[in-house]
Formats: sequence, structure tokens, C-alpha cells
Amino acid sequence: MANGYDADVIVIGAGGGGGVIAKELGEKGIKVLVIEAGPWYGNSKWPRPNEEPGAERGSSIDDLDINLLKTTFTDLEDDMNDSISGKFRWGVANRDLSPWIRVVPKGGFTWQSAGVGGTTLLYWANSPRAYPEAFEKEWPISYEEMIPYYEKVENTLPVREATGTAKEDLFYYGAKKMGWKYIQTKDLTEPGYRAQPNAILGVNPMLNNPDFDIQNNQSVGCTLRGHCVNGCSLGPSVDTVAKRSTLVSYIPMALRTGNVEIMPNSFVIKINTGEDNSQGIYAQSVTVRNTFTGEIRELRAKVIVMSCGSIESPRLWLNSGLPENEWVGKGLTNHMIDCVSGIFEEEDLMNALGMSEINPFVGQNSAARFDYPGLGAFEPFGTSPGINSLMIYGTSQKGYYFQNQTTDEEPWDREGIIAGELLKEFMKDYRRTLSIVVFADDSVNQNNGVYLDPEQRDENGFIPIISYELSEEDTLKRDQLVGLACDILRSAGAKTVSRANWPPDVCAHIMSTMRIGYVTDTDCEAKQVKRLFIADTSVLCNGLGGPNPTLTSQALATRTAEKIVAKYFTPATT
Amino acid sequence: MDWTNRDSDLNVWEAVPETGYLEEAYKAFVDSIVPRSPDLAELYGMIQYYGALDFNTDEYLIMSMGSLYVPVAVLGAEVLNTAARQYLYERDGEANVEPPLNGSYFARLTMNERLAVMAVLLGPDRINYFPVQENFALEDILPIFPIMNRLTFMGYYSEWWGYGTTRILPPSQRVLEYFPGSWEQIGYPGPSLGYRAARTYDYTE
Repeated sequence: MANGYDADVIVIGAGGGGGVIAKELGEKGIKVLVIEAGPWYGNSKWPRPNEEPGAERGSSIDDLDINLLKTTFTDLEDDMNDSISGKFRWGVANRDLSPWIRVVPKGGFTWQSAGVGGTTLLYWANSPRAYPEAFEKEWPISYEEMIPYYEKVENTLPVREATGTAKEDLFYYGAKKMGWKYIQTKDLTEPGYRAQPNAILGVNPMLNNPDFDIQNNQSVGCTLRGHCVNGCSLGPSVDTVAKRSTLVSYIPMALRTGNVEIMPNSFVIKINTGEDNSQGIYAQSVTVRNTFTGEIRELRAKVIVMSCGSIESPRLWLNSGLPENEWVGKGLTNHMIDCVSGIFEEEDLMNALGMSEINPFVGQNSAARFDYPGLGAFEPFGTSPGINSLMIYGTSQKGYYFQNQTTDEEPWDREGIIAGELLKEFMKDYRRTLSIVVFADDSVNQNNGVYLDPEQRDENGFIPIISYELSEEDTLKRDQLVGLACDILRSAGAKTVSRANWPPDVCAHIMSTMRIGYVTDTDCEAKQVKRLFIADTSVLCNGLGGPNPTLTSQALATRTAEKIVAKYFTPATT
Repeated sequence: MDWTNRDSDLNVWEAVPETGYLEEAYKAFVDSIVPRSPDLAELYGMIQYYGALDFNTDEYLIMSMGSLYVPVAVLGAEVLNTAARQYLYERDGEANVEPPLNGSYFARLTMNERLAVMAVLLGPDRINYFPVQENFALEDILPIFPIMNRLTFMGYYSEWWGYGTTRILPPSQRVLEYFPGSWEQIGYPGPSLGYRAARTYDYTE
């Protein structure tokens, strides 16, 4: 730009939030530069995205290349999701280099992906709204105010009711048999089960037709192939891919505005500020490090948006030496995730489903859910076996199963990591296993959060340490919800039920480390740094009561784009 | 006597692992998580016999842990051997425990003893069983054992073994050469382009 700025707005991070705000601002005529630390998959300017630097930046919809995306997304879970060397890892594009380091002391892990699309590259696309009561409790803005923004994102992605396969039918069967109600509203006030609202295009209407050629299919629509988590590439073009990660939804729409440029392989290591009498401290530029060359440069904009996620946004604030705030990095909620699973016998499956197997690898990874305002939510799921086994049998804060005596009062038969011959026995029945992931409603606690390691650094600054403890009250909620999930498995006919009991610091839903009303004002502008906004899950005020956080952060980002334009880009202010 | 390892001189021999030190520890560990199982083979077919040793999951762990920003493959083996040594000291008395030549305490345990040691490493008293390291804070060392557990599941049940002769090449150079044996054990057919599986359950009634 001729005025000394590199863009009107710089957005840091092209994930679930950054993609949305870039598109919304671009549509309003604002020149946006999105800086993304990871690679850009499915773009002909980066033909070997994990091996060669490629171009510096891209802005053309014509560069999106579905065939390249299909070659890159191999459907193989270790290639895609290996936490150390996978294409969806938390690290630079070049997989010969180590992933970025994080300290998660209690045995948990963080499940996030760098890259254009961010963690939506691997998310299951579940897009429920928050529970209204969670807004009433703590948020400085009302649930009613959010509804039009929810609707806008739901129509844009789009979000629709998922189509179930056997695993969902079995889940409904168990819930219905217990007397739970089917609920149809998007605004949840009472417990019940429903089809997952997810951001996956409708199932191809020809799919069940025997003449439909699955192998040479070039049409739009989901084919229930079960690779949401391993990177969906199903569709005739990048922008029509079935699972609506921001890579294939908001980013192409952003490019279409003609106002958005994206610079991948570039890690923002510092936000630089200026100070004047009228504004006080304000954001004026970012320091960026190229992950292939190590080259460092400074880029300027009138407004800067942090969309780095709930760990990197506070880390960047702290590494930039921005003003102290007792809530920066604090108040982390993560839904205290846990997993349970049940193994069924053929006869019982025949009775419930009319078929002898569940086949958890078939269908959208998650297509049904149970909501319980006040406690949280849970959803049946199924994935390829490495990830599935790791989730239900390989992660626990209670050690191995043989360390835990279970009593008749507990609704599960075994608790802890399953190892030894029993693991092989259980996995032999993988095709007759129904898994459920539990998201409990954890409360905001200032002691939980992200802080900087005082000594260890990587090339991007001091590394983040995740600290999370379960409170007694939250543990009770989690146990109650886990018990209910186990009851549904039993009700559906499960013969053997296992509870993993995950460590408290597993971070897959990572929220509320830069809370609206505390770190930012109600427009999501930092209270202490003008012209610095936040548009990611960190700015959520709490854990939403348990529902998956992506949709709410996208709705909020949509609203924030309006606030940015109103404050800084209307004729009176520019 | 201090059995907590806090003042031990473990670093002297652990700093320079002898040949086989890593391999023995990791083989013994993955074998404990996913053992060979002749009994299952008899009941359900020969394929069920094979375990992590047959599918090189130990190599996957060594490769993975050695690829972290701060490589911890050696440290992972030390975690196992330190805990195994501690376990033997407590059970038999230090004077009665003969040190193995290359420090491979863990590999010489029986399967049940290994599981007992692993249980301690995930248990509430684990801090007393971890090696003390000059270059690592406790919060860096404690997550290592949970990581080793998770990696074993991913290494064994994902496609990794199927990369065959390319499996320890850099990830961009790997080519799937075989159908993974673990997938055969569990009936996973591998990636698919679609399933005619849409159902229309009437969940409203």
C-alpha cells in the first residue's frame, strides 16, 4: 500500500477465527493481510508445501488446486495426524524439523494444527451454539445479541443436521430407550439428544444408489468416508470440499473479495506498539519470521487482529511485552475432556440396528450429540484406528486399568489405559465398538492457564506452559456426565464399558485465556492496547457450558469485524 | 538410604548409552503394551499372534521421541530403567540387585514386573521414580511417560508399519508398501472414498 502500511488490517493466524474475520473485513472493502505460521495446502503456489518454501504470499482464488489437495491429504492417519511429524501438527511446514515445543506437565497434550485452516483442518466440524445459560452467567454481551451472528456463520459455512450411520443410530437407540428426549432447537435449555449440527455439506443424494460411482465421483457432497479428522478433500474444487474447514470455506470467500492476501510459513513473534496522547498505547506493526528462511521483517497496519488460538495469543502478548493484565493467559477452560467406549456383541447389534457391526470408521467422525445444560455435552464418534485407540484406551490420569478396582456403583467395567493382551482383545472388536467423547462444563479459574517458561525458548520466543487443575465441583459434573454416557452405552446393549479418564490438561477445546470483558472490551479490542483485536477461542468469556467452541468464536469474529470497521474504517475515523 | 534418585549418579552411565540400550528398553516397553498373544492366535487366527515387536513399534517410538525439539529418546529409556532399578531395590534390597551390564534394568524384568513398574510411572508416587536430570525440569520429564504410551497406540494402530523399507525415512519420502498387520488384526479396511451407509433413523418418536 502506498501510505506506508502493508495492509489496513493484519490478521495473525488463518485458522477458525482468522479466516472468518479476513473474509468479513475483505467484504467491507478493507485490505487484509493474513499471516499464518503453517503451510497452505491445496494451492498451486506451494506445489510441495511440506518440502519447499514456494511463493511468499497468495491472493488468487485461481491458485486453489483440488488435485493438489487430494494428493496432499492422503487419508493416512499417521501421515496426517502424527503429533510429531504429521501434516496437521503444531509445527513448521517442513516436517524434517521438530514440532514446536509446549510443556503440558500433567500428562495431557494439545491437539492443534498450524496451516491455513488451522485446527479446522482436523476438527470434526461440529458447530453447535453455546448454551444460553453460559452467556447469562458471565458474558458482557447477551446471547440474543449473538444470534444474528450465529445465523450468519451457520448460513455461510453452512451448518446443517448431520446424516448418521450405524454409530449414531446405536447412540439414539440407547438414549431413546432410557427415555431421553429428542430436541430440535439450536438454543438449548434442557437435556436431550439430537443430530449433530455440523459444518459438512449434505450427503450426496446419489450415495445409496448402487449405480453411483464412488471411485470416480466428482460431485459435491459428503460420502461418509470417515476422514474428517484426517483432512477432507472430497469435492470437485477446493471451495466445495465437503467438510467446511476455513481452508475450503471462509478462505476462498476471503480471496474472492479481492482484498485479502495470505502469507503462510510466517510466524509472528512480536506485536510492536506506539504511544500517543489521544490513544495511549496502540498496536502498529508485527515482527514476522519466515519459517523456511529464518528471515525477519516488520509489517505495518492500522489494526492488528490476534487469531493465534488460546495458547499462542496469550503467548504472543506476553512475549511482546504488552502491558500487564491479570487475565492474560488466565482462566483457561478446556471442557475436561474424557472418553468412554462400549463393546457390543453381534446379536445385540442385530437387535438394535439390524446389522452385526458398527464400523466406527464409516461416516462423519461425529454426527450425533447429547446436550445437558448445566453439565456439558457428549457425542458418539468413530475414526481411523490409531486415533480412535489412542483416545479411548491410550490416555488416562488413572494409570493402567489393572491399577483400578471398579465397583458395582461405577457404570464402567474398566478405567485407565488398556494394555497387554486385553488391548488386543478389545481392538479385535474395533468394528463392534462405540466410542463417546465427553465435554464437561468447566468453570473459569484464574489459576488455570498459559504462562511462559522463564528459561526455555524456541525461535519464536519463550515457550508456553499449560497449567490446568480440576476443581472438586467440576470433577463431580464431569463424573456425572461420564456416568450418563456409560448408561447410554449400556442401554444400547454394550457388554463391556471402559472409561479412559483423561488427564485434566488435555487441550483440544482450548478457550477463554484472553476473555472478553477482562482482557478486551465488549468489542474484542484489547483494553490496554488500542487497534489490537482478538478473534479466536481465547476471547470467549467461558467454556460455553460444554458445546464445541468453534462456531461461537466464528460468530464473535463476524461481530468483531463490524466493530473494527465502525471504529477505525468509517469515513469519520480514517 | 535415599531411594528417590535425587542424589544418584545415574548421569555417569546414562549420558553415554551403550549399543542396544535404547533398543532394549523400547522393545520391552512396547511389548508390554501390545504383546504377542499365542492364546488369541489360537482362538481367533494366526494374525492375532503378532504384537508391537513384530510391527517395529519400538523403532517408531525411538524415531518419534528423537525428533522432538528437545530429543528425549534417551531420556525415555532412562525413565524406564531408573524406575525398574528402583523397583528392584525396593523389592530385593539394593545389595541383592546385580546391575545389568549396559544399564538395561527394565528389559530384564518379566512381563508382570514391567507392568508393575509402568504402573508406578503413571501413579501418584511417580515423582520418586523419575531420573533426576541436570538439563530437564521435573515438569519436562513427567509428561514423557504418558507421551510414550500415546505414541505406542499411534505407532501400532496407524498405517506407519506399512511404510516398510521407507518407514524411518523423513515423512515426505515414505511410501505405503504393505497393508498394516494391525489393521488386519482389527478388521480396518483402510481409507475409503465413500460408504453407502446413510441411515434414516427415526429418532423423533
